[in-house]
Amino acid sequence: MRWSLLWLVLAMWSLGCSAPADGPVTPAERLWVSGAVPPQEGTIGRVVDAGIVHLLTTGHHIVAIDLRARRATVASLRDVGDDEKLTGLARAEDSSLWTLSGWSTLVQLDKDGHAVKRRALPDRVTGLHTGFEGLVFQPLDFTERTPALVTTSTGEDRPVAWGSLTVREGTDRGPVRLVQSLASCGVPVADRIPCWLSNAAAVELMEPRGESVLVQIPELLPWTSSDPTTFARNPYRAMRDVWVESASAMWVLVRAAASDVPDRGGERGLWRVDVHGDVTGKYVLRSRARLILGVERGRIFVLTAEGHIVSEEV
Amino acid sequence: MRKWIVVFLFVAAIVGASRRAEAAPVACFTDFGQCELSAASESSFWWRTLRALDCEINLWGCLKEALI
Repeated sequence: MRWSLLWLVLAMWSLGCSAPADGPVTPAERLWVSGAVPPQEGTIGRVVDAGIVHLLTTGHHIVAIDLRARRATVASLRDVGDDEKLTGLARAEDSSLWTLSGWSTLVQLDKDGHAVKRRALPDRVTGLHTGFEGLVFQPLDFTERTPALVTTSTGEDRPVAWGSLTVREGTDRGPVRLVQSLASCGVPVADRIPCWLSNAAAVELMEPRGESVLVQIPELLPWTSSDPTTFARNPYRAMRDVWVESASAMWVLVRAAASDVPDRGGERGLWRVDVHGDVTGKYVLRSRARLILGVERGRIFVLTAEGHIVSEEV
Repeated sequence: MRKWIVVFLFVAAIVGASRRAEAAPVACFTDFGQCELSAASESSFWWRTLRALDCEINLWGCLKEALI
């Protein structure tokens, strides 16, 4: 009887041990910097300079985050109107810092947040990003199949297409197609800048000298919308953020499940994706995350919905 | 009793705010429809075209604000 019981216990234990762990893992989370960004302020631009992450917020603040020192400092923008709508934060080739005011005014900011120069652009633009050789813009152009990103040097030269991302085709109104084609770009890491469109399951990894690799992520397709009208009535980014880990892998912030309703505050799905588009790791974070702020071996730093910076052990 | 009134008002404010946030993209299209009607009333072809483009740009600005 005793031996039967022992065999039963051993059988149940081995069954439990050999059953594969299904589903994503929830990583250990640790508070890194408390209250870095007010939760009511959205982040509209990001640059990394000498290891410091600079975020521009809708409250007209620049938050400088030093992850090593575990410190965030906030500077208010000066000489910028309270009602000015700003888009993007980008570093030009000469290291000057720029944001876009309205549809066609570039505003240069110094490190203390003062607006030191304004420059009118010849054409309307709707996005601003950092490129390798100059500023990168998204033209305010509803025309299907036109380049989603163009580059120029501080807005003076004739812009040329940057990468292969284009405005979606279709018979819908221009803004309905453009809202599916709004480009986001991440920070340069390992000579790669990731760019992606709002309603797409692909990341284009931009390389210096205009080369690029388009990485399709088939597993992410259910996270996108196939109905342009429905999407336009509740627009979201299928990929909330992308951070390049190395030349062969990147981290993507997504909804934890395709059936989850997109959350303006942040998302809890974190995927590791290789350059072939295969998902090699899936995590569900304890906190909703707005942005990825850095990647180290075994650890990822994110900005949470509440405005804290936490580290996730992956 | 007063305590419950305060709690009720607080909850109503939160629900109202979230409903307004959810309705924002839909409101973009409502405003666009009114703008288009106004643009269509212009007698000049060029003004109609320019006003219609303005309506599209306003719609775009509204949708971009709503984009998560």
